[in-house]
Amino acid sequence: MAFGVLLILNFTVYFMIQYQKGWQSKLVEEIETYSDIEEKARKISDKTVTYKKFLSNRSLISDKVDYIVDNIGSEIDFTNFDLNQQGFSISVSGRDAIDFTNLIVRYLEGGMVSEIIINSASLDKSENIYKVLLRGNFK
Amino acid sequence: MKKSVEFLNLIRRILSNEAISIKIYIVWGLLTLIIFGFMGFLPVSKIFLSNISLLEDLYQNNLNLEKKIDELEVAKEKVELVGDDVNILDKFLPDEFQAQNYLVDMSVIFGQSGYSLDSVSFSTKDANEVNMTLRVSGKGNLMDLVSKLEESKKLNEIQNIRYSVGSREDSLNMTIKSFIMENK
Repeated sequence: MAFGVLLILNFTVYFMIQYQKGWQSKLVEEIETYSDIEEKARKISDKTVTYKKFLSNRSLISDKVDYIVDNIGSEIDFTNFDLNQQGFSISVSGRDAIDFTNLIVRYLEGGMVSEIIINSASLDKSENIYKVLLRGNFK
Repeated sequence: MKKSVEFLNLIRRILSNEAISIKIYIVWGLLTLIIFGFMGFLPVSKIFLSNISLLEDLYQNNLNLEKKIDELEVAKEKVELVGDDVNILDKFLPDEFQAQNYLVDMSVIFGQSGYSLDSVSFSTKDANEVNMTLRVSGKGNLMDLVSKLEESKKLNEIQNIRYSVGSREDSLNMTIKSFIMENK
């Protein structure tokens, strides 16, 4: 008797399994119709994540350029400068030596530069102009 | 035919003996119990239990698949919604390096800031980066130029700036790193 019940239950479960398999086949077929959407969505997601990652990881230099150029002031002229993420060097000229001291103080007091080195300083007597080459490192 | 009738008669005679037939029925019952109980019932029970577990797995998988289909449906709606914006995203973060696109963008930015692009060279350091070395001249606004380059939707990272003030026009050498999407 129990064996018979077990056999009936087994058959019932077997048919239920067949039904689930059929349902699964239909679902898989339906999913396959979305394959391009999934690929497209994944691509957009990857690209957005990568874009955000690059955006947050990149180092900006505009603040440093503004800092170096804005601090020069009107009494000193610069002839050239070389700037990267780590530091800068700048050639400046002016008529009064105190202006260079003030420039160095401004650079150091602004908080963005850790040190300033005077690489060279000369006086052009024909024009009575001091020419100074400064080098600095960013914090 | 005769032999089989004789054999049946022999069986009938034996079974008509109550003591013998009881023993036979007991042995028969025990054999049935052994054959169906241990050699039949147990394996069928095991199959039943494994089928139940399989049925549960299938049911759960199907539920997950249905959930996945719902998610895909939502994703499809979103992808259709942002359809054109995807092209803009491609422009911001190209899949591959195309020099002409960078040249156009850079020329526009330099022009807006009062400089003209004299020369540009490209090199690819790794799959995600394009390095541009640019030579620019003019009497423009350097800070405006740097801001525009960094605010550009194409992701630029200025590596180095070398600026020289000239009497007629200034000259500027720049190294810019631009990001592209790694092709997988």
